[in-house]
Amino acid sequence: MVTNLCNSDTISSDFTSAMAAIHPDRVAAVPGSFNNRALIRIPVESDRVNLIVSAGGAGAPFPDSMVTCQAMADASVVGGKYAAPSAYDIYEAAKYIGSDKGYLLIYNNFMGDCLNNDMAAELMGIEGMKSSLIPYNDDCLSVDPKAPREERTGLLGQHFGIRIAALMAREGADLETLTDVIGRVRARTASLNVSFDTEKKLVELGRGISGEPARFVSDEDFSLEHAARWAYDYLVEDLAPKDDETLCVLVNRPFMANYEDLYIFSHALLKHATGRIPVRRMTPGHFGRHYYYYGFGVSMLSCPKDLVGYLKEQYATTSYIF
Amino acid sequence: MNTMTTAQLQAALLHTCDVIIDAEGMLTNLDTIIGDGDHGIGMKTGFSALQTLLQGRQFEDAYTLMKESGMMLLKVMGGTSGVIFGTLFIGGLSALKDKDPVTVQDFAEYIDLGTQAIARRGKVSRGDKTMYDALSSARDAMLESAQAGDDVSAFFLAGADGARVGAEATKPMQSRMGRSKNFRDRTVGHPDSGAVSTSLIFKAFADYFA
Repeated sequence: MVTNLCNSDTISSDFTSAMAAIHPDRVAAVPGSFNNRALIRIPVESDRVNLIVSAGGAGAPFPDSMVTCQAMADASVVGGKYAAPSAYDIYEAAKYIGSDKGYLLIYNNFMGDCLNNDMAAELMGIEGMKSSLIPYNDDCLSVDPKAPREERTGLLGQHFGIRIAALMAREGADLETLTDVIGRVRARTASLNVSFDTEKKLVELGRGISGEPARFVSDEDFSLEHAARWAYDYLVEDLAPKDDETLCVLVNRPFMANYEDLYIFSHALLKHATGRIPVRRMTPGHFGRHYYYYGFGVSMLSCPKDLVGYLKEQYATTSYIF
Repeated sequence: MNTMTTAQLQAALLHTCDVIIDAEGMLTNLDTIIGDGDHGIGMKTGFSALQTLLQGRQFEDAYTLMKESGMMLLKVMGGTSGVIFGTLFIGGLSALKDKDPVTVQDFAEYIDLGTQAIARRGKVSRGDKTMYDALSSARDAMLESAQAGDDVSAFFLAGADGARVGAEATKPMQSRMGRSKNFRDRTVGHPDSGAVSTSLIFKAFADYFA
């Protein structure tokens, strides 16, 4: 169980204030903001498309990535405890940035996030601000595996899309191009949670971040290696990579999992891929979310050939800044 | 009497705030069983801010009262509830424009338009196991009551009964919307927390106007 020692009623605004105070050369809070739950990357570059990423109360790692990485989101809006950010906070962030090139609104495909981003886009539209909505639906086990992809919710796959969109936006890509490209990236991304029931010695696939039951459970081999093999095989089957695509994998270490297990699990996945479809880019790190069980989030991008160059440099949100 | 003043509506809303804030624990428990447990916290956050807005303030008319109330919920709550309950307050505002005092017919139309706005925005329908089950049931009862010429007290009582019946009806349903749908058959046997909070809102109005 993860414990927050801070005030749970004000955690998001306190966090925003803290980030802005500690990294005043990298991020800023929106002056006069109603809720103070949005961080803006500075210097603001309003002459290009800006990326606004929003996530629930567990979305704190997105601001972290803005501080630790040169090209990720331009604004990060977090919700209150367990809740999607309010439409008004997203709108306020866009208004502060003031881009006339438009905004890419990236979020996970949960109902609250969808409703608030929809409404934020409406509020922005009233004032003439252009936006595109990119709900990420990469969690291939969030719904019945036979259900249409549109019904899936999101996990961590949006990191790939954010990275590519951020770099392309800096090259001057317009909103329509970015919407199209990130739509393609999203369609080639799949994620799942791998978890371990340490009492019953079970490996699980597809447990939800709010405790939703796992989709698949295995008692045959309680090991990191078995879990890594299973995750790889499932994701490859789901994505069916094409010959000219490149596999990129991100492994998230939630708070409960230790670094040693993260690297051993990631290495096991790489070894298993050898002789199959190889993983060209492996990024283990702490990308966020409170999980209430021991395990990892695994996201795989079967990257289209024309976009691989954008993923050459790696980043991880480990908050080591010296 | 089949009319209500802005001051009465404001007082009814303040009473509603007390009820929702007090229900935080119960709503959180319900949402923890079949959701992510944020509903009680979100509702308390929203209605606490609404309480602060309403206390010691006079509104020029019902339209302004409901508009500012809805915007406050939208701003502070976030989550599904922020948009949905914000829309409940804002979606039917055209029915209150230049209406002072407000008749039960005006208010029934206000609720009807708000209900329709929620269905459109949330893409929900009856049987999805959401707050819409309680709201649409309340709306139907209030439209019927208004048409029958009931007074304010009977009108809000009808709405409260309708909402309660609608919320109860969510118990045997399996969730088809939001995060709770991932809990699959575990959702059967428990009412939807949004439907319960909706019924509390209508009951609070009924109690105030009793």
